[in-house]
Amino acid sequence: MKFAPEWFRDETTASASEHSVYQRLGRINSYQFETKRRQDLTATSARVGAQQGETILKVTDFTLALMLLALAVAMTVGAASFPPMPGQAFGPRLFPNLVASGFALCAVVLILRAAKAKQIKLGIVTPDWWREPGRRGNLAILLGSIVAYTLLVERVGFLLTTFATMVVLMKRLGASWRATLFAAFLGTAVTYLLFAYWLRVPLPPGLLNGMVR
Amino acid sequence: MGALLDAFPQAMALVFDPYTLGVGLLATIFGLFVGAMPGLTATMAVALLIPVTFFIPPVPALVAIVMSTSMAIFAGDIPGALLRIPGTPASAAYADDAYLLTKKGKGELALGICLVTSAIGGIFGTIVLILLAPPLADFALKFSMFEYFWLVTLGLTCAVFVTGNDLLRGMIGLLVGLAIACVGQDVTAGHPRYTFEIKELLSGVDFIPAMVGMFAVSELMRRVTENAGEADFAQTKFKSFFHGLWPVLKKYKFNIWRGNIIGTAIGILPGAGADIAAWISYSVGKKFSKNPEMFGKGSEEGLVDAGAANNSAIAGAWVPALVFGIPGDSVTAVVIGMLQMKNIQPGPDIFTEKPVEMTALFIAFILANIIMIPLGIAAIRVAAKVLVIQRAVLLPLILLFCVVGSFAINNNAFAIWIMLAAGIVAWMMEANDIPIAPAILGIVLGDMLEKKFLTSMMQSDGRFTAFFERPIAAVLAAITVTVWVALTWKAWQGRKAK
Repeated sequence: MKFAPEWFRDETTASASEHSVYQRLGRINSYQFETKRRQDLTATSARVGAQQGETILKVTDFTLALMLLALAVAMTVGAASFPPMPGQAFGPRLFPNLVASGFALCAVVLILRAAKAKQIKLGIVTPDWWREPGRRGNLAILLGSIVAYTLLVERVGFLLTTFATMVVLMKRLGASWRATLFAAFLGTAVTYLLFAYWLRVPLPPGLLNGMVR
Repeated sequence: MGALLDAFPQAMALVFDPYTLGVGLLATIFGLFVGAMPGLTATMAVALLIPVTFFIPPVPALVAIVMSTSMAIFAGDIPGALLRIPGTPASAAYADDAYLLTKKGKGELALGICLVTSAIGGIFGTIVLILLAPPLADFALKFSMFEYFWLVTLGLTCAVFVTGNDLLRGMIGLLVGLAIACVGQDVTAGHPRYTFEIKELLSGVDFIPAMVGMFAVSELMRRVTENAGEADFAQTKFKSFFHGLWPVLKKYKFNIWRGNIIGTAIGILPGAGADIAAWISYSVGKKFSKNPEMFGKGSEEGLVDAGAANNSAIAGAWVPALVFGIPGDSVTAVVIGMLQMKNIQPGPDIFTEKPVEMTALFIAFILANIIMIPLGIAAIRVAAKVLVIQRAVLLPLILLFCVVGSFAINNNAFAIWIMLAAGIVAWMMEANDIPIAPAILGIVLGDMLEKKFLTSMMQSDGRFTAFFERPIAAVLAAITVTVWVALTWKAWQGRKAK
């Protein structure tokens, strides 16, 4: 019930079947499921951490509040250097400061809530997948490949970098060599044709400079 | 309206141009595929399409977006019925019903209901869009900065309160969006804010890579940490989809109307789109049904209710997006960014200044919902073969499209960093139950909110009361303030009750 407004969130919509749909949904919309489940679990809030969703990385409300406070302070400090508008009451500082106060206010409410639930503690609510090294590795390799791609694409060139990144990711996620080589080749070729030829984007040639158009 | 009618022949010619139709067909297939793949949403389809639309003329670009979103929302029903996994969140409300009907051997009927109610809903929503948006734009011509300030505030308010039961987390989502909107030269003095001397940030956080990151990269991050399940199809061969369909639709014709109206209205409401429309129509349907116990256990009525609502929301969301530049859902939030890049400024003038493009948009919507029926049937028939595509192959290919799309816009690798950062932020937000929709509205509307406020203040020499002096502004202000007071009070009461 992620988005359904409060007045519709009643017994007519909450059913046992909802639970099963969300389990099958996996992550697609588990925010709404999580929210509902969190309500169910408030009674046993001490153990909520262990029971939170399997595929998310969540921090405690208190940690979230501290992060928001840090953001608010950083924004305010940054805004202090913005010059005022001559002859005007408000200038470039106003909005950043308002947003920062908003963050600070939300942080205070989060801390009050945490205090009421006796949950003043720092840290990550460790989801199950976090403890399985394979999954963490998948995430690290996904993010790492984006970073590596960005750093290399202009030097090594689009075709080689793309093909290599595709092969690494597909093998890591468990595709067969045949599927990997086929899909990596086709994916690279199709995007190249689409962007370089049809849309005329000059993709970096890199090491293959002169060999392809 | 007159300008739009005059533009009709030219718009028809543009839409039925072979190039546009070719782009439209590709977008249709793309939309059906993305919608049918669980975890890939209609918004993601648009975010991935935007880099391509950036390089093609406005009419084919609009056609591509309309085709892909309409198809994606329907296609989300296919894996719902066959695998009990909704393809997009908009099909989540009734995935159980569709699946259980299929299990009972009524797969053709279930998918037939989804398909035909989607098409009817889409056409209903489009008719409302055609009839409502131009007159609303005429009315909005009278609006000054003060009215716009309140409209934007009201839009952002809506986005916060429709996104869940925790007002506070909705607020945080909105603030994240507004904070991102602060980056870049400020709207009045042009002073660079939070740019860290990076020249690419002077014009603000690039919209396309940010959207690609928030809707696609964050999803990839979630998917690679999940277990891949085996696809277990409830049915793979289909006979006629129309056999026995008519009596059901006739029996529930009132539900279709109600679903259409609810869907379109939710679509128009800023921040809420097809998924909320389906949930609400489904729960309203259940409330008034003679057989509420069947809902969730294979109810044809539930399918009709929700199926009629989600596609009508798609068209409804374009009303505020075109007339005020306030997106009705996350798809139109992305669209507003695209329109601005194509030099089409959403606002009350849009129908007089771009009548051809707008008429073409309407035609595209009608066309999309007509061709949905044959192409949707084709998609259902091949679904069992396509949906088994390996995650290990699919996810890297999506990443490839994200990266190249972000890079291509300015031919600058910096955009990929923005994409990555936006992806991580969105992933963290979702993990902590902070909704994304208000953040998107914050990013899209932040500049406008600040500009309208500051210029209004200058015009009125710093008098706050000027915001309440014009009659329409006063009404909008009263609504905004009432909504906030009511929400805060309700949240307060809710906490005390616990």
